[in-house]
Amino acid sequence: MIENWISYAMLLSVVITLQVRKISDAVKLLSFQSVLLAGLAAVIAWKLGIRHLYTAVALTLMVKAIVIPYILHYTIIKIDIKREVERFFSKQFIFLSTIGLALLGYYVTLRLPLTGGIIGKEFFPVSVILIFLGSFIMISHKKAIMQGIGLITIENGLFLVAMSLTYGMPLIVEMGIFFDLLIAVIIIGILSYRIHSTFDSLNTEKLKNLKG
Amino acid sequence: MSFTHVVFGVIQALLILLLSPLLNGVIKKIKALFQCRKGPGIFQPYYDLAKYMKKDAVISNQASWLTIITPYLTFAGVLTAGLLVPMFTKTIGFVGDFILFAYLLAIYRFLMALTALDAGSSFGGMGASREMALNSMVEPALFLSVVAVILQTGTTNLSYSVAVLHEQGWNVLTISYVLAFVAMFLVVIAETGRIPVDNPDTHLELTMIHEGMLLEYSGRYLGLMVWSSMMKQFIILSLFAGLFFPFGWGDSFDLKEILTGMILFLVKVFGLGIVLAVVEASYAKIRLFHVPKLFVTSMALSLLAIIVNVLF
Amino acid sequence: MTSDWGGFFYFCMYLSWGLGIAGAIFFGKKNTPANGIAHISAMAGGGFGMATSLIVLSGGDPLSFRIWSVIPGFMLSFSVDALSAFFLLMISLVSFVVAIYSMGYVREYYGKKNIGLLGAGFNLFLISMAAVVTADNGFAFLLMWELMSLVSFFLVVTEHEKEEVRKAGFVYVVMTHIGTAFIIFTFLTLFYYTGSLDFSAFQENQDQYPSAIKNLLFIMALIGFGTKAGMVPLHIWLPRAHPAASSHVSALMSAVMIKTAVYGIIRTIYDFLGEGPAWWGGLLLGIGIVSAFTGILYGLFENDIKRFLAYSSAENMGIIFIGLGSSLLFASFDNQVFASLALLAALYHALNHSIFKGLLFMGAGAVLYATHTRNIEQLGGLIRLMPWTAGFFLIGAMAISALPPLNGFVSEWLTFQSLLHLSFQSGNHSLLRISGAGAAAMLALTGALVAAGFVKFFGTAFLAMPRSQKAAAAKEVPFVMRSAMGIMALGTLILGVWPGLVSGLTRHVRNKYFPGTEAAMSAGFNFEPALTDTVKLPLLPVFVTFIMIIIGTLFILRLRVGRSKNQTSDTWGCGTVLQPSMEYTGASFSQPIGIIFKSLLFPSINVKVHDGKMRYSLHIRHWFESHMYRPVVEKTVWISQQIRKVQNGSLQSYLAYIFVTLIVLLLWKA
Repeated sequence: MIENWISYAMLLSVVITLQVRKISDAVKLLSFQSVLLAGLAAVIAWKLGIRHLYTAVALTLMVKAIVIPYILHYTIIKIDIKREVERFFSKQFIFLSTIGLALLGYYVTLRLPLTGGIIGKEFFPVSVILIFLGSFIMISHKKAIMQGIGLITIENGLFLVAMSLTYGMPLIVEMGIFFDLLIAVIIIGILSYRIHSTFDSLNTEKLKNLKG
Repeated sequence: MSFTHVVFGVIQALLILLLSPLLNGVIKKIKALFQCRKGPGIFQPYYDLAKYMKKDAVISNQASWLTIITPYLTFAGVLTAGLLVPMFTKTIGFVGDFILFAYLLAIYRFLMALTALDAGSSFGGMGASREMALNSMVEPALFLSVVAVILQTGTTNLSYSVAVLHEQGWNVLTISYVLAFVAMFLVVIAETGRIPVDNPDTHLELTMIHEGMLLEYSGRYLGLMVWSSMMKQFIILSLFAGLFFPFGWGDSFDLKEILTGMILFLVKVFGLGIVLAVVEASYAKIRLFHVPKLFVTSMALSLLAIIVNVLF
Repeated sequence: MTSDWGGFFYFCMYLSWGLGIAGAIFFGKKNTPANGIAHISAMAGGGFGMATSLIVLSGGDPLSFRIWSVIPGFMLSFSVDALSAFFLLMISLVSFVVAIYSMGYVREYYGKKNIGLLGAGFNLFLISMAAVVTADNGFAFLLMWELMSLVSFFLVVTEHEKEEVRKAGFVYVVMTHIGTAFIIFTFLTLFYYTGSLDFSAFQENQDQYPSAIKNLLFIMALIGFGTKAGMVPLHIWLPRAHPAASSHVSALMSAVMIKTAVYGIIRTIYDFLGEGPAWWGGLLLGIGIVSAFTGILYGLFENDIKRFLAYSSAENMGIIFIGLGSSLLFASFDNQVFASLALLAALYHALNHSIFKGLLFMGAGAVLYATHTRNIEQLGGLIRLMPWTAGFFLIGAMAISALPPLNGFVSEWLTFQSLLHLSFQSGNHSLLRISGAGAAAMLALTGALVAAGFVKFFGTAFLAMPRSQKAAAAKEVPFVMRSAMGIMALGTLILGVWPGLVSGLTRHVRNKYFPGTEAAMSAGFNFEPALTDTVKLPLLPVFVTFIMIIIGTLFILRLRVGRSKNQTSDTWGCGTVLQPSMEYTGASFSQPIGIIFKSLLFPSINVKVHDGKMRYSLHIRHWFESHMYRPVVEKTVWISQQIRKVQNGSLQSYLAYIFVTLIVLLLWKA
């Protein structure tokens, strides 16, 4: 039961991420979300006694909860943005969209013809909704850092999907993904820095100027 | 090619060379009479030519070798074209292809227009430009009117066509034939450079075409060019006479028949010359850019002639 | 001579050209050796090509080779039958002469361009053209066709630093690929019905194509090859690409590359499709007349000498199509002899055009070489500074204006005969009889306009006084360039006085499609025996007479009057000193024609007074461009811009596209 509640908490953290005003808050929320994910994985590992999941828990804690938020934080400090997040849409619209996407995710997961047993029948919809909302974060925010946060959210969702369907992915795949993610975030960090120094802003809309 | 071919060819060439100035003189005289002038004698063109040939030439210092060779080439082109037209006997046809005839005359036109530009004078350019522009209408009109006639003979060989027309006797007179006659007459006026298309007597009016191109010529070169244009007039009238008055040809090499043919031929050509003079005396020159309408009329008539011929 | 020798020469031809490529690239930017090896190899290859084709044309036995099997079913196979050999002869003859010319002409590019690359491109272009006309299956044909298009594109944009050249290259590459698309479609349709890409299979299964498909194939081949041929209204690339290319390349493109399209049309219609309905011939004839007439009419109003020549190419392709169209019409009414005559007219004109248009483009190139301008309004007086070039250009101009005794006349005569015999011999097909006569009149009109055009261009560029410093400083071009033009000029004369040569060379081609008619046209154009007296053109006595009259006139005048003591004096300028600005310009020369045809040309006249000087300019509205191409281009651009909104450069939108796709997919699966 506890794993379901943890997954709901994760969902809530993403919904809040979509509403926060300061980027640093979003990073903290991301860190919190990853800690929750690690907790959820630990619960599953303990319940089902899957050993290798503990490694994944440790990696999640280390990479997603500590290293990545640190890099993002460092980037924020480095380029000295204290401004709020910038979104394309109003908060109300985003909130309504969030609810809409959540319903959509729930509907889709109900209808998906899945064969075989599902361990986390309750948190499977949550994992899909996390993917949707992660994408939505990337789409609705202007600043490059938020795209990084959205990406991690999607990845968390995927982790959860994998866990709910097949006791998590094989360790080697998991590690690969973590490594990819780390690189992606480092790149986002560097990219943000470059965007900032070139355009004097982190706004990815400025990238439109590059279009031929 | 037999010996007789060569003999008749030479006779025809001499006929063209010697009688074309006379035709011009006659036309001028008739025109003068109609204008209540006395006018120069009918042999005046011979005196003119003789004088041109004797004089030394003055050539523009802008002109090139083209000015020197053009008179010879055009002279030869026109005379050769003349040999293709059946004149007084139908049994001997020297090749006689109409398309070859038209393109030999085109040598004359092409080189004359080019040489007109050689000296750099605006008059020459103007003449050449107008000549080539009007020619673009004259040429199809000439082709159509001739095709309207040779449609019933089925060949572009003029001697053969004329022989076929001759054999038909009075049956040749059909609506189509009459239409083609009118159509070709309009072309003849243009090809001989007569009023209402061009004025052969003017030298410095802005309306002139042919004379403008000869402006820089002098001496024997002018003589040859003038002679060429007289020959061309003679030849065009011969062609017209051959196609539309197809009678009076002998069948054999009998001297009497050939002489009759020759006399009838001269009557036809000089008669047509007089008609041209009358037309020239009784009309004013029309504006340059109204001239194409004349040819459009001619082409329309020819087409009508062809349609009538094909359908009925 | 056996076909062994033919095959040997055929391979030697490719070998020489291949050597030219390798050598030119090896020497690269070392100008003189690169120039030498590239063009001497090109000449050698041209020589071998001529030998190959003459062996085939005289013997009539086709050669065939299988060169390389790319993957099973996709064989590169080549064969040289009589038709291929005739076009190969054209290509190798012109390439031989143009290679000589190029040795002089590319000196223009020393230090500006990589001569090695230019020479390699030149040789590769020759290889591709020779391979196109000798390809024996659809795969080889298309491959070589595309190679030819691409190489010629790169040669067109040699001077890519100029904006107009890049634009011209773009138009060319677009048009040529539209054409190629249609050709590919044609061959694929044939493949669908025969299951093979071999030309022999296409031909053997002639009876299996449904008649609707045959009609479709005809139209597609016509559009596909017509684009390359510069058939109006698909001609728009010609007047752009030919001036843009360097002159030795434009000589090749205009003289022979566009002929490969004629080859393609003959191959597709006569060989693959076989007999078709009468309207095929009618359509081809009509397109020919429209091309011939509009081509030259637009050309007359150009002031750029190479643009004019390009338009004139469209006109001459029109005349070739008139011949082909009449041939098809005669064939569909079973008049074999005249079908053969009309085919001869088309082939003869194709050969003639490759010779005099090669000559004229080389002449225009010589003018460009000496004065660095193509605008005739800045030229003038070149006949005294460059007498050889002027003389050769004049011969070319007279040949293309169909003046006897040069070659243009003979093919024009044959075309006239074809049209007039449509009129004479069509029995009770009233429409055909009337339109035959009308078409002949249109051809006469075209001929008169061509003459006007060449009087304008020769007269303005070469005669009278130089109109600019550039023209006044012109010098005669190097000997190699002059000798190349001289060879071509000689060619126009030979083909003009010896029509039996071409009728003999095309004997096997005509015999293949219209058996039993090859004897009807013996040497010297006496048509035996069916057509005695009514259709014949014994040119020899006429020319002998012509020359005798010239000699006689000179002789008599000299004898009776003596030598003319010519003195020179100023041209009469109405009392003032004649200035170059007082000369008749090219624009004013063509103005009367503009007025006569104003209902077709929509000329607009602009008179501007600026700083006390008056500028007069005349603009012609190009109907096909303003009514056909512009609307299509505008619509395409509009649609593209609408679609382009999707690609807005925003990262978030791209993510949204992925996201929406994901959701749609999930919903679709769910």
